[in-house]
Amino acid sequence: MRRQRTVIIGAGSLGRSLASALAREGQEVTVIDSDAVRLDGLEGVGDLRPLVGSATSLRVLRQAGVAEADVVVALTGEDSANALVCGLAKRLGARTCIARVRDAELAASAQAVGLERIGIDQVISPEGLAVDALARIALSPGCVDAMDLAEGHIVLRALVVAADAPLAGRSIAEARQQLPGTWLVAALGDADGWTVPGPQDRLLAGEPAYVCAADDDIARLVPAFDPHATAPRRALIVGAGDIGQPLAAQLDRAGLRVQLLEADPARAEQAALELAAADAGVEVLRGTIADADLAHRLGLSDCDLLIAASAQDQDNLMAALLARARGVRRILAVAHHAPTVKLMGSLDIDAVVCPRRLAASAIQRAVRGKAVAHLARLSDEHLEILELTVAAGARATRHALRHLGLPRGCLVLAIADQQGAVRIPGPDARCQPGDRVVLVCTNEHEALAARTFS
Amino acid sequence: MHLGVVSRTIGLLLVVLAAVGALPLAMDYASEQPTAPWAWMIAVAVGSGLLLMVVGRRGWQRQAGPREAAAITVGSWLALAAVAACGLRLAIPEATYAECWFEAMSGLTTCGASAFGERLPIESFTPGVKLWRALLQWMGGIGIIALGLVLLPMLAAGTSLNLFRSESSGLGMDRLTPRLADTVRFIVLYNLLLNALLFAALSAAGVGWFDALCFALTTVSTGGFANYSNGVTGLGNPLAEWVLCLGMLLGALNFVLVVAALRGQPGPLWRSEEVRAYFAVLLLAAAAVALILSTSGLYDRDPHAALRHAAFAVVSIGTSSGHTLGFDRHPLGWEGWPAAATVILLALMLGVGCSGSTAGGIKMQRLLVLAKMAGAARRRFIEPAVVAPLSLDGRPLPPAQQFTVITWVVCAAFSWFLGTLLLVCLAPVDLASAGSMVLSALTNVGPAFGAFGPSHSAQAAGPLGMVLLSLLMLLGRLEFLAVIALLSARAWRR
Repeated sequence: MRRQRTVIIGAGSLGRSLASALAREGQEVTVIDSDAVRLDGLEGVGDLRPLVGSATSLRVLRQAGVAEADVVVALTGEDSANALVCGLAKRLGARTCIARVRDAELAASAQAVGLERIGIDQVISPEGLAVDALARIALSPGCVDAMDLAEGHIVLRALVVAADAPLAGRSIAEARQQLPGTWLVAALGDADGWTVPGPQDRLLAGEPAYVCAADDDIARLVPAFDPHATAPRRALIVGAGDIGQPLAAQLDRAGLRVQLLEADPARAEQAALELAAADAGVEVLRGTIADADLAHRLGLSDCDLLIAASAQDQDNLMAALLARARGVRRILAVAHHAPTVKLMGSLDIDAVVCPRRLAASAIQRAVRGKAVAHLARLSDEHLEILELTVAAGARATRHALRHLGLPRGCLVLAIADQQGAVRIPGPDARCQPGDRVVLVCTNEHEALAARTFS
Repeated sequence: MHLGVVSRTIGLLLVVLAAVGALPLAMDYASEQPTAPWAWMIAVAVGSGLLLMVVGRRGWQRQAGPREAAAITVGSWLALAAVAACGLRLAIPEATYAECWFEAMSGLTTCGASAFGERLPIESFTPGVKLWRALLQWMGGIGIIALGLVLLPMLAAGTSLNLFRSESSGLGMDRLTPRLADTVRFIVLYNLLLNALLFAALSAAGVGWFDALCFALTTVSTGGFANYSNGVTGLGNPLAEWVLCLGMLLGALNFVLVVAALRGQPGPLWRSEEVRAYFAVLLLAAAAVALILSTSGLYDRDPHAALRHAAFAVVSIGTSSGHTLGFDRHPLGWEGWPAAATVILLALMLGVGCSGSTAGGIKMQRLLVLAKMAGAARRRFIEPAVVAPLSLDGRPLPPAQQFTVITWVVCAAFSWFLGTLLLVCLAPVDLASAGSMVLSALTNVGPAFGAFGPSHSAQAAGPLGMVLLSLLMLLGRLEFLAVIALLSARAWRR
């Protein structure tokens, strides 16, 4: 089998982590950056080729072997440069071109005229992904993480088991008896990270569990894990930046009463104008949550939800901690850098969203074509969600799931047939060729899962 | 201030007036009336125009700055009114010059208050005089400078923006095209099209061609002159009254947005907050007045007339037209109505027409800005940290623009206050009549209440009062700033 060739343009932190991850998987990776310093030390990370030069130069792109590349990922700091590089690479013969575009307006314009005309196969916006993730978590009562699978038919929600919850202390098997229906626990968290549970594992109070269910069924399950979870009515968003402003509009559309707090007067004014132009009833306020007067007037103690979404990690950390001290019920925070993600994870913050990590996982999904998303609250990446198409003649088509001999740590969450109907399978379910299966598994079982289903 | 360029531009505009003046001459020639008055007027216009051009020959190549533009605008409106009044004075031997000056200025500013109709019935005038009154309103509706820009391309070279700005507030005057002169041309073309449509509709409704022509010219310009002493009632044609109502509505609709819609961009017109508010206010007011009239017992035998008269009066005053109707019911027109209806009309007299139209007064855009400012102030009062920048139609309204609206309101309020006091001193009229008439003059509506109600002419003001009112009309038409700018010594420094 020919090894996949990937060209990555831009050796920023996202480019570097993506390059090393792909190189570790044995792909042929070339990284282009105009700044030689940033390419320093990349060679040691894995088997990859650093190339110094401007990515908008045809000579450099030819030299990088873009013409034979399977995937070109443009991750420079300039949106327009990324779009242009994709266009050039496509003309040169690259198969799949992915561009990071931060500016929502530019992304929308490109979508409007048709991405394929510009030569882009996929647009990745870290901020856009973060907005979607935050909105999903914010609107799911009691959740600390939320993912949608199989085009949104199946939802995966991380719920913290409350001490007085009906299911607290029960084993998975008992819980399934107590709460009939088609649902699964995809993963259990503890101090060491995440594990895929067996039937005898217990739902311990205070620990998070990823619950997988149909999108119209999850509301029934949540009270069994967290009886106090209520749908938010009011949200306070700190920071009217690339994440805060679109998030405010989205939560407003969802019917929440949204307040947007921004320290920079010019930025606040701009956000207020743009939100008003979009007919959003968001109230924009100038100031910080550290202002005790303002915090008092805002009535933080009966605020359902605070989302710290500014561009500065330290501001978000500060806002989250102050909000906790002032009695806000649920707190979500954005962390842009890996150390902050770790730090926030160890604090009493309900959910932490990292735009860069979401982008990395979206790019990896596009590059590798199989992993749907990484399932991890913290930085460990050893649990993955895979989406595979069942091949004709695969072992999975001949036996029911329970007889496939899937190891512990590998669990089928959903099966989507070719008509698009999605179901959560019981142990006796059987796959048909052409079905798409969504499964959670540890890194080491990934190859085995791939063999079983395709 | 460079007087050369001012002089030559006013001279050029006088020649434009002379060209339009050929029309009443032709009209009176065709109807076998004396043509000498019009020939004299044209001679005076051309003569004074050429004289001013010779005086200002050194300014031929110069560009008009903001100060020159203000002087050109104010000067040309005064000069054209003076010459146009000469024509009226010569054609109506019994009239005084003060009456004719008032009539000419009322026409040019599309105010529509008339000095005639009581002492001298309008029906006694020659067709040329009637046509000239209508043409004055047509010119004023477009704007003298705008008309000059279209007819005299040499005026457009470089000087146009400053000139144009000093004649109209610039509110709602977005450019449709990169060149301002092209935009103005489109708007004038649309004005002509609207006149032609209204002429055709009035003819179809059974109005004679001459009345149809004059009423079209005075209606699209939201002017309000009529060929009859008792206003639109003189036509005796209910269908034509509805047509005129529609014509006034279109005349006070934002021309720039309508032209954009006609050129294939209906979005801005459809979504415009101002246009929506304009229709909403008129609809609401008309419904309220109709309800008041139908319950008052005045229209018991004819509910259709109640609705028609209510809609007509609301549209006529709201769009600052000043056409009057209702003398077939009450000899006093709307003055015989219950006080509640009168109060609504008085409020509408502020002017609720759209910016970028021929309507006068405060206009709906400024009212919207004021309402939004009040709303933002209220929100800031409740929560001082709230950020409430204003926007109109999705575009931000910077503080500088808000300030110009406040300036307008302050200027209008002071002019109204001082004007009312002066009018009471100059003429034997009561305070209520004077107050409503000064407001009506400032917002270019025309008729008012009391001694200046629709059943009266402006005679009650006397010669001095008429001069005062005519200056107030000009002040309101030019939206204060150009006139006030000229009052400072700095404007005249070389």
